[in-house]
Amino acid sequence: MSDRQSEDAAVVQTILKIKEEVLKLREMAGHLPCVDRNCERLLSSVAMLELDVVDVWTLCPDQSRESA
Amino acid sequence: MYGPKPLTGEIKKADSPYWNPILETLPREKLRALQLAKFQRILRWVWDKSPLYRRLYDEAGLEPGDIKTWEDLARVPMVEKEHYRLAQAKDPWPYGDSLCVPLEDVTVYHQTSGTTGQPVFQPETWRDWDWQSECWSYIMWAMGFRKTDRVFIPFGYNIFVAYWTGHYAAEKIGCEVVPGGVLNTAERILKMQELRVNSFMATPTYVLNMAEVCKNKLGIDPASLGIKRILCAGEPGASVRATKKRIEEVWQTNVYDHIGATEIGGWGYECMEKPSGPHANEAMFLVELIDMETGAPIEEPGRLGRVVITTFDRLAQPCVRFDSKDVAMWGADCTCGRTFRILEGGIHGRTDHITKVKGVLFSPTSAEEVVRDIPELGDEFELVVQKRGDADEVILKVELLPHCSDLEVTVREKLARDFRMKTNLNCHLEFHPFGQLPRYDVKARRFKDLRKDGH
Amino acid sequence: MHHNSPYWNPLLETMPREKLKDLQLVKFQRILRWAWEKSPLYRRLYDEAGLEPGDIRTWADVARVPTLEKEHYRSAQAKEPWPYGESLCVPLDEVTVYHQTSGTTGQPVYQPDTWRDWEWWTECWCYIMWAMGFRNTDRVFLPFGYNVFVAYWAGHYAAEKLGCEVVPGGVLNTAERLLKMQELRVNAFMATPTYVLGMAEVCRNKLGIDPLSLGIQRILCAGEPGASVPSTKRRMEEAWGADVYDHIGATEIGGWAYECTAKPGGTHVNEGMFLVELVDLETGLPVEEPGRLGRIVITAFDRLAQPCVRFDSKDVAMWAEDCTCGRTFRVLKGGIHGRTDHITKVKGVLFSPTSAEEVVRDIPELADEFELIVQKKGDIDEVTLKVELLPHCSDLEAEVREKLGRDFRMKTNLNCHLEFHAFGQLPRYEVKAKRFKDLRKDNH
Repeated sequence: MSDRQSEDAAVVQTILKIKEEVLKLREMAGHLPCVDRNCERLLSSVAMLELDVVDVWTLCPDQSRESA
Repeated sequence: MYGPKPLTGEIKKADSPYWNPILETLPREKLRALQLAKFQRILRWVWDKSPLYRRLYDEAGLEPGDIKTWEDLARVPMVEKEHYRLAQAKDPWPYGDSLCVPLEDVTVYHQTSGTTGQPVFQPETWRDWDWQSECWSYIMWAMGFRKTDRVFIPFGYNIFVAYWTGHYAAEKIGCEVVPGGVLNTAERILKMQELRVNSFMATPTYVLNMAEVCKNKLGIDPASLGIKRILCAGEPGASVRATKKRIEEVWQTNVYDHIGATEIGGWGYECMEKPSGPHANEAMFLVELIDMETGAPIEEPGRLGRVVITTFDRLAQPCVRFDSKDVAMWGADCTCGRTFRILEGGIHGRTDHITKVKGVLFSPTSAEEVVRDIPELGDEFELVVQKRGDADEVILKVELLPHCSDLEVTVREKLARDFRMKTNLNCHLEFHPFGQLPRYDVKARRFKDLRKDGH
Repeated sequence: MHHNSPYWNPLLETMPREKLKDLQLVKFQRILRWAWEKSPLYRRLYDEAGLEPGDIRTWADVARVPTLEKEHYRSAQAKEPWPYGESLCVPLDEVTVYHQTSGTTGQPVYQPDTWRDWEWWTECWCYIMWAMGFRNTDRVFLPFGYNVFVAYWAGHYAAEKLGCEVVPGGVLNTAERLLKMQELRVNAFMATPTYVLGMAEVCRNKLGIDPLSLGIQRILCAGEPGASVPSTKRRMEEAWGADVYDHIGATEIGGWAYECTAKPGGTHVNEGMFLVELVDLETGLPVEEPGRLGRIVITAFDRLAQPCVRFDSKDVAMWAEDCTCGRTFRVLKGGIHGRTDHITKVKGVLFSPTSAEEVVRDIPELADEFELIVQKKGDIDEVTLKVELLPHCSDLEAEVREKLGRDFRMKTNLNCHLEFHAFGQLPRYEVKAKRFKDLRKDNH
């Protein structure tokens, strides 16, 4: 992978990691309503990052990538 | 594919009666320690960031590091609306010296109504607005709002904060939110009926109006709408037992009180145990009751004091020891398990309405309690205090319900007696034909102290 | 750092066409499967067509997927659970946001959104508003009554997401709104073109204030066509001294198209979030080349509670040449040209009412309001165009009549009867106008 691609990969991995951490948090402490609902919010925000950035990487992977 | 799947399979249900069990049941000592630390934190923030507060504290010879104990706190000068007005006359427009963040970080704009003078502009960062939703989530969760509810918001969404936060908090809790702007009252009720909403929020005055329009204009029994809970805010009333009872009976529902203000936030809330008044959110706010004459702190229940509030976590335009000009008293602890104290009877009135009449401390909500406790009387009333020669005179104007017009003699006797017992005062009673007293759409102004005008 | 990019999402908005198409196909398959699995409405529709999600592998397959229209939602929503019925794809308690259509064309369509869907609405509007230059240094006024119609709700939330300062102008009347805009020194607002022009008139005539003095830098137009009609855009920009940008969206779909600061004479389609197909008005075949009118069929890839998959929006548009802004999202030239039932053959010629708007508003002596009527006179279609001269131009009728007749003919290939009415006599609309009436339909 080129430098550009590894940067992109790192961005994608970070977003997926955030999602995983939020899911973990919700399982650990989701019996607290404030944690449950704030996690719901966090997950929706993460979902937007997935639509904006992650989808392209995971749905249309290819060797050469050009982005602005 | 879409909804994130649980990692290990089991999700514990968030069915606690407390939005935040940790803070809401925190032992008193720990809560007090937390409050002191948060007070110091916000004090330092405003001193660092706001010329308004810096000047105020410089003039008092005070620095944040000086405040180490609860006793020290009393030395911190209070702020009131007028401070904000003067500060906001400066640059940057329109927030001036009270603004603690860069102007472009301001995302949400509201203002006060300006009935008592120049409006106060209220900026919020996005984080502040999320904090607002969070505070109202404490409030609404305690009242039983859950994501299975469909909530109607019968309010004209405008520049007054009113139910904006209720809207966002209802979303945060996951309720289905139906915005009832623009529609008139009859249209709102029909929409509530059509969509089978089960809860709404409004001022006590408007809640009663809605019931009247529902019955008399639409010929629909409000109880048939299946409303399970009503959040009341914006004016006292829902903590006046007789008013709460009237609302609950006509709607066949549960009514809960809330206390908040544009400059402060949503700081008081009734829980489902319906104790003697709302809880103060003591993790997000420092609520102090101050003796109206001596200025000394009031800790024991049962004694009226003026409410001075510090908002710990609001950053764009904080309030630190803000004199809300409201009057309240502490009450006995609630059975719900919250260690957040109770304000018995909610807000009893404005400091300029709580007044000595014939040497006796008198609050207008006591008149409300007495009038609404008598079923033969209409919802509306008016209370006038004036000077007759040297003596104070109280006039209470009421309306008998149309079908009770022949009961004036018995009602008159009961009303006078109840009033005397409640307030230790005699009053002149005026019975007016039903519909003659002023009606209010959203917030009422039923109390008039004419003695002030005479000076 | 990113605040210098003209694109909210440089990744998607400048994605090479081939890759974008690949992404679209995969996302289409994803939402198709979602709707088929979760919604009895869609399941039935596809079962009747003998279709399963796995059958859709190519773009040719996509064109075979049955289209949906408002009536499908209405019938589905007549069922349980109230009020969303069989179009709902999520548990009822996941629904957080409620809106509905206006119900002028029949029973309203109820529109549920989960919180994630509402976040998606906000995100789509961020693409839109960022492209128009909205930034966190703006103070934006929303002169709209916040009610059950989605209107500017997403604009409000997106302005917040961008970090603008948002001033909610509900409840106030137009004059009060203008005074509040002046008091708070707002620099941007959003409204329908009809209301934008209405506000300018109230500002000048009722308040005696020149709209230019309010310092508005940008106006987002939505809710009806107009901002992509060059002469209407010009009138608005001249009145306010601001840049005016068009937006296209609908309750059932989302906010799916937006003009950028390059002002390409139309609106970009958000092709990362929506599949926008133009189909021939007669044959139903795909229209790919620029310059030919087609009906718009849209799929929202990521809206989950009540998705729209190949939804016939009943709007008509055409593709344009590429824009200079660098976006690979295609442009719809002239925005929405009208509703399919308004784009009609008159005397055998395809006619869209926005051409009348362009002609009328291009003549400075004519007021903003006009009315267009098509009716049958015997066997023949007849077009009547009603206009008003501005009060100070009332002696110019002869020349204006000649120019108007000629311009109309050149623009539409049709002759029309011209009626000049006294200023103020034609109907006024507050927010959305209904200037076009086709009386031929009533006779059948």
